[in-house]
This record gives sequence, structure tokens and C-alpha cells, in this order.
Amino acid sequence: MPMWADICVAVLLIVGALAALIGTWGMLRLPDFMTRLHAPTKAATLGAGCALAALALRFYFVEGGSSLRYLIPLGFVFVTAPVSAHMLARAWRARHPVTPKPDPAMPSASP
Amino acid sequence: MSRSGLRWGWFLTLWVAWLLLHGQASVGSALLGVIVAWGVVAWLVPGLPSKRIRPWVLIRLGARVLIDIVASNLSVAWLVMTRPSRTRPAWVSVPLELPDDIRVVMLAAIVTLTPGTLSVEYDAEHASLLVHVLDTAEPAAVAAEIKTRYESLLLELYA
Repeated sequence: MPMWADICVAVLLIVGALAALIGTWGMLRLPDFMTRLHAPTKAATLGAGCALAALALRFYFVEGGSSLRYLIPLGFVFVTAPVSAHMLARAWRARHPVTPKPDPAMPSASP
Repeated sequence: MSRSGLRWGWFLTLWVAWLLLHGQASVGSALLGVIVAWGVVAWLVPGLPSKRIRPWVLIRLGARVLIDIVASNLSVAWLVMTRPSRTRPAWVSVPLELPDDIRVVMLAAIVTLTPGTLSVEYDAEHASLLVHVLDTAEPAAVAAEIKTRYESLLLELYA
């Protein structure tokens, strides 16, 4: 494995770990439920993305051939993470009526 | 484009994706790929988009989303590290013009995956997406940005 690939893998892993760490920190420090819900999307996108990119790059050099299969989990995360965030937000909204800002005459905004 | 042409397009796309994901190409994996791709096309065709996708638009959309994910990750990270208790959250309703469900789902997923915005509810009656924004000074600008950056490309997606 060439030197520059080693450096790329290391940088990707560190950036991914930092994204996950800051996302966790955000979940602890942000003030209320809805703002806290924003924090895990960082770990799900940049965190998982960088870690899996590092994996794919490393095994491209170790095994040869196409290593795109190591990016499959990213596809699953990108498809499933919005669903769980969506369900949590809906559950919160069931108890807290909401009025959005550019209000296009929507009486259904408050359930 | 004809129905059978679309079938062949999906079949070839799936088969090439299968080979790429498999890593080393071999006769066995190529044959298995033919069976799997044929099975998916035969069983799932009614659920697959029945119009031709413009690949260039899809690539531009993917690149734009990846760039925005990285950029907004940085801005949200900065926000979390500097002033987590003084965010300016807002609820924004984004009126949409997307005609079909699959593109509404794609837009909602993109909005959630971009840190700083979460899609919460799609109001089918008024065709508007309710979005929660983590920190913004002008909520109307966020709605306009979602429309110009993502919805415009999604509208061009099908040929």
C-alpha cells in the first residue's frame, strides 16, 4: 500500500471520528428535543461516510479489484437514517403544535 | 422510450452494479448477476420508475448533495462547538411542485441528510414539506434554497 493511500485512510478515519464525536457533543449540549435531533445526522453522514470511504480505499489496495461493496452500508444508512429522524420528529409534533414561517394558508399545520 | 427498452436499461444497470460490487469479475459471478438482475427486473418493474432518467442530472444532484453534506457538517460542527445554547431554530414550510411520490421522498431524504435541516412532515393536500431548521436568521431563505438547489434538479430528473 503506497504512502499517500495510508495518509488518506488515516485522514478519513480521523475526520469521520471527529464528526461522530461532535455530533454526540451536540446531542448533549443542544437545548431541546428538536435541535438535538439534528446532531445525529452528522454522525450518519460525514462520520459513516468517511469511515466507509477509508475502508473502501484501504481494501482497494490490499485486495485489488473493485472495493465498492464497502460503500453499501452507506446506502443503507442514507436510506434509513431520515426515516428514524422523521418518526421521532412526528412523535414530538403530535404533542406540540407548530406554525411554520412562510405559511401558505395551511390549517393542517397544527394537528 | 419503450417499455422493453426501459427493462433492458434497468437490467444492464443492475448487472454492471452487481459486477462492480462483487469486486473480482469471474464467470460465476457474472452468471449469478444475470440471474439476480433478471429476477429484480421481472418482479419489481412496476415499482421501478417508468420514465427515462437523465444520468447527467442524477450525477449533478449527487455531487451537489455530497458537497452540501460536507459544507453543512462543518457549519453545524462550528455551531455546536461555539454556541450550542443560542441556536435560532425555526419551522419552515416549503411549497413543492414535484409531481410524484418518489421524488418527494428523495427531496425529504436529502433535506434530512444535510445537517441543519430536518424534514418532518409532507402535507399532500397543500403539497408542502414541513422542515425544521437548526439555526437560521431568515427562514424564508432556507425554503428558497431548498427549492432552487434540489427541487429544480429533481424536476429535470426525468427525460
